[in-house]
Amino acid sequence: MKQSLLIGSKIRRLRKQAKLSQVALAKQLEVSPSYLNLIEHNQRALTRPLLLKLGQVLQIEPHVLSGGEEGRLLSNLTEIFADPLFKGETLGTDALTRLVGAAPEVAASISSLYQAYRKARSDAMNLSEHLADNPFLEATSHRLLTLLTSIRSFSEILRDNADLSADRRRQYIGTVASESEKMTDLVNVLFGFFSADSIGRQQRGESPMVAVDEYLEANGNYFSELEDVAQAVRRDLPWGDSHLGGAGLGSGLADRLSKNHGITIEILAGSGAGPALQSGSGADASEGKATVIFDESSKCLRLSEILPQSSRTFAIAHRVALAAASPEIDAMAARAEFGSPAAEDLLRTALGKYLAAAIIMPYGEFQSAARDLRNDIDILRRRFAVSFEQACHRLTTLQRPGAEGVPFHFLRVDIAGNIAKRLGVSGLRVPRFGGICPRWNAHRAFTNPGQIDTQLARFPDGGTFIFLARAQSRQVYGHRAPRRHYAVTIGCDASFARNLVYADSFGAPSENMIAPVGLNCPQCTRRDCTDRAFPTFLD
Amino acid sequence: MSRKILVVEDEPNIVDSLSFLMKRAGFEVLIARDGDTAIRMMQSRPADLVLLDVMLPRRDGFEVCREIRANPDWKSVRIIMLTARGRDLDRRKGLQLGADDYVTKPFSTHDIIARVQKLLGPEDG
Repeated sequence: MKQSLLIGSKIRRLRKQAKLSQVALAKQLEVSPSYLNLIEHNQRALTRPLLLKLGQVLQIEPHVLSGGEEGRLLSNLTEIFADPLFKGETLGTDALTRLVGAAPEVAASISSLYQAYRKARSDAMNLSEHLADNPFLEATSHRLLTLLTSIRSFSEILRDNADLSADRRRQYIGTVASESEKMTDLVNVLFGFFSADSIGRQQRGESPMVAVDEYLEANGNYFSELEDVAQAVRRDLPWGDSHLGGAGLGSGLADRLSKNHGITIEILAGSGAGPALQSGSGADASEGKATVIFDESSKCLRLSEILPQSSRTFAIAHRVALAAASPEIDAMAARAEFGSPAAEDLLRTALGKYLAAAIIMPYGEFQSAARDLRNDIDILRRRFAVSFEQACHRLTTLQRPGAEGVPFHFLRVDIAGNIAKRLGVSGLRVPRFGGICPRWNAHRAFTNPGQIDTQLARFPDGGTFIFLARAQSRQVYGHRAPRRHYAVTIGCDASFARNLVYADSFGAPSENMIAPVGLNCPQCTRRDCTDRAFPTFLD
Repeated sequence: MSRKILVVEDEPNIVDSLSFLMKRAGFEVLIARDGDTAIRMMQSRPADLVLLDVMLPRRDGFEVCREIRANPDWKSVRIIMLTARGRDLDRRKGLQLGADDYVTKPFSTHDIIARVQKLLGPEDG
């Protein structure tokens, strides 16, 4: 019945397209014009012989007239208008049938718009749930609602106003089409928002930190030109390039600063002076006071007495790095083409610190020691008189072609689970936003500060990593000062197990020694996980 | 004389659809694309009812609503706020500032006409 109702309108439309009058078509069909008129108004059923004849006369396949396509449209529309979105508007089968019959292209548009709306709505709901304060999403959802509002209004106007002029009808259908095209683009943008690459690109403009992270990762966090400078600096030291860490190295570097660059060093009593300086001091700042200050006018490097020896040496090496290689570092930052002065500054700082670490832990010696000690960080840090974090950081840079170390990633995670620093080439995709999986040992490490926690972690895609995590407190000055707690964690693909002294405890691991982990709840498919705190986006 | 509706909305397509709907329902339609213009138009040709979007350039819908309600000459003017679905706070804020009603985007055309007609009552009182 529904189909025959649709056929009348369709014949009428096709006849008009063929520029035939009712009389002319009736003549060719060998029926009376009044009979054809009744068929066109669904007052008479179309017999099969007449259907075949119509196909011949209008030069269309008989199945086009069977109404199957319209039937599908009609059932789609029936479902659509049952949505609570259209609550209170009882649109009966008759009205919908008339719409499908008279303007199937509008019905098809409404149907595809509704699909887009459903998709967009569920995306918008997910996004607003999990990223409620994200300005991009706020703007996008406002734009989506605006597009939906005009699409819905014009669809309803088209549906309810049969007497619209042809021009106006064309104009409104055009608006619906162009607005739905914009909505499709917007929905695609929303989908793209979830891909890590895209998030990286979107953030590049906003977050200098992300831009610098990506640059370091793209270069495997290894910079041969800086390693060459570091080697030259070491060779210039009084004892040549044989290693001598700790205070000895610090005083050698201090001599160099004084002789080559006219820079003196002062140790300050107290927790530092003045506001934190941008360069070389931010990370060591305590309560807004800089622990490392370089006074450009007096060429004096002032170090707070609260800095442990490893940090003092590092600060001096950093100043040597900047004095020795500023032009090289500036050129590298310019070549990165960030288009953002803030990102360039940050990269300059990162490269300066890279060079400082390379001076303190020369590539050749550190890489061979790491290899021979199977990356035993406790021995490495003592041998080179560096902190645990400095040693871990340097391990991530051992990617010289032909003399590679284990490809490690590095993370600094605060006690609330925020990632404060990420680096690495292990192949692990670290989430950019939000926290990380509660099953990572970075969290567990806080229960046993100062100890290295080891974990064999398997991701839903089968990737298995070895994680080492150690919780520590930021050096503070005095008993009353608040302590900052964080975990330093490094890790590598489990296939490098034999290169890690820490993996010995795993032996030949049985399945129950492998922790099933994810990146974070929204990006994890372990639906039955007992640690799940948020629903997954991946449905 | 037909009653006047001031549509305050910055999105051209929504302006088009609202003015079509209101004209079809027998109203005279005035259009303002930002909050400042809305107030200026009210001063020169006061409308009987204002369809007022929340997010507007320059002065937002809340400010316009507040200003209309602060002027005793416009005491009888009806205000319907157009708020975004899911922003309940906007709705409550609008009503608090003296709006008579609200519709959420994407609105139903039947619904918006019905609300306008209900607020304005039958034509000749």
